[in-house]
Amino acid sequence: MDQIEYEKQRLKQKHSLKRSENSDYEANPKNYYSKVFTKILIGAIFVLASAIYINFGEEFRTTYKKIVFEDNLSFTTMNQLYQKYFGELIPLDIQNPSQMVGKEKNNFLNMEKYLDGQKVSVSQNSIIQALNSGIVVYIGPKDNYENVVIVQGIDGVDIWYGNIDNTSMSLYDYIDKNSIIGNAKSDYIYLLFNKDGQYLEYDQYMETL
Amino acid sequence: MINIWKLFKLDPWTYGLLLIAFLCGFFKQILLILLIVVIHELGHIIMLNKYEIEIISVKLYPFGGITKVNKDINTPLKKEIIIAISGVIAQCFLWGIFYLLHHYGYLYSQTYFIFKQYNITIMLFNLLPMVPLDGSIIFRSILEKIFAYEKAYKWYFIFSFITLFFFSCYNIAWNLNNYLILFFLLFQLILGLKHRKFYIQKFYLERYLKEFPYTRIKNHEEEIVSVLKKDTLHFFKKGEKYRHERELLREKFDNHTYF
Repeated sequence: MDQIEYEKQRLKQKHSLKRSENSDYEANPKNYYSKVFTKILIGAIFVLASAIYINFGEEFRTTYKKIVFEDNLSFTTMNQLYQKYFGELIPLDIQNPSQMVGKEKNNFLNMEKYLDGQKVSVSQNSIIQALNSGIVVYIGPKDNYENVVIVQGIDGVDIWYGNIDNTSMSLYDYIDKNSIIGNAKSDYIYLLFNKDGQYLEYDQYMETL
Repeated sequence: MINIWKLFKLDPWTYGLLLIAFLCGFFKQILLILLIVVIHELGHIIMLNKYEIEIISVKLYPFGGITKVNKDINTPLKKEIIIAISGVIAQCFLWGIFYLLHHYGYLYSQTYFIFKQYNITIMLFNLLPMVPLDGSIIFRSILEKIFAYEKAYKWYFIFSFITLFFFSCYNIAWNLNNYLILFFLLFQLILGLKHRKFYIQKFYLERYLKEFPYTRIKNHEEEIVSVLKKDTLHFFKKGEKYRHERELLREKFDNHTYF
């Protein structure tokens, strides 16, 4: 009989040990609090480290702002790298009737330099089509460019389409070349070509296509 | 009520796929796929819970989930088929919800079309008659309705091999995901083949030890164990009398013929 009782107790102990490994509050409150506390501390370390980095000087502040608020992860490069070695990650050959493809080409009338990009005159409220296929990484207002759609192209060039109205796509959609981005809000749009921090001209970019 | 969310476990491969998909910008796609897989498994869980079958764990692999259960092999075929098909039915319900959301304008049409495509693909894939998939369980149940258990088991694997062969011919192009799925299926098939003796003996032992709700009675002239069939109670003729199948099984197990 003693043997059986001993075995029962041993099993109970084993069971309770297993429970204590669990991070649930009920199983082990001490462990739970220490884990939460660690997470808060890691957050605090990140904030303080950022504050110290920013306070080194103006240069550091601008780079920090660029990395955190402006740069996008290069989704398309990653995707292309993956496709090159391992094939398609997720099948994307989906016929989507909502993603309209324009029939006519963009009709750009006149171009002039505007900040880092170009101001392009078009006819009033004309439809703007994507110059290259890619993934939509930003939709919203930007300083000096009004309502902007940023498309990260499959060739690694970010194209900004500024002063756009009635955007039909949502964030992180993959769009094809010539699919419709939206309307021009008035009789001009802004274009900006950004390749790894370098700004390209429209003609320069069109030559690479 | 069991704690459903504690049953779910993610496979390391799934973590890898999630990370890669996020880095490649497929947020919507991968979340939709995971949602479909989880709902599919929930469908199984609801039916298993209704039939009071113990669930051990639900493991989520990159493109599907596997629900491990502690189930008798002699579970009635009707129940087996209902459990197998409940995952696809749950997917149909999810489709209905998405359709309504799209219809009343709460959902972007692109999201809906992506969802629809993945839902149909996962549904059709699950209905293929290959070993760990739902389609194979339905196929096996039909075979077991017609043939004896041992014979059905044999044909079930032969057919699975044929389907897997054609499926891999179709998916021959180099693609890491496809190859992972193919190797997983092959692995499950080989595992099933290796454990065939265990399953067959378990089938007989269950019938010897437990009572099952048999729906039919069949008489046999010869005394052979391998004619035993699911859902059916067997009697064997010996001389003038008919013997209950349990007597035959008692001879098999109590005479240490196998162990």
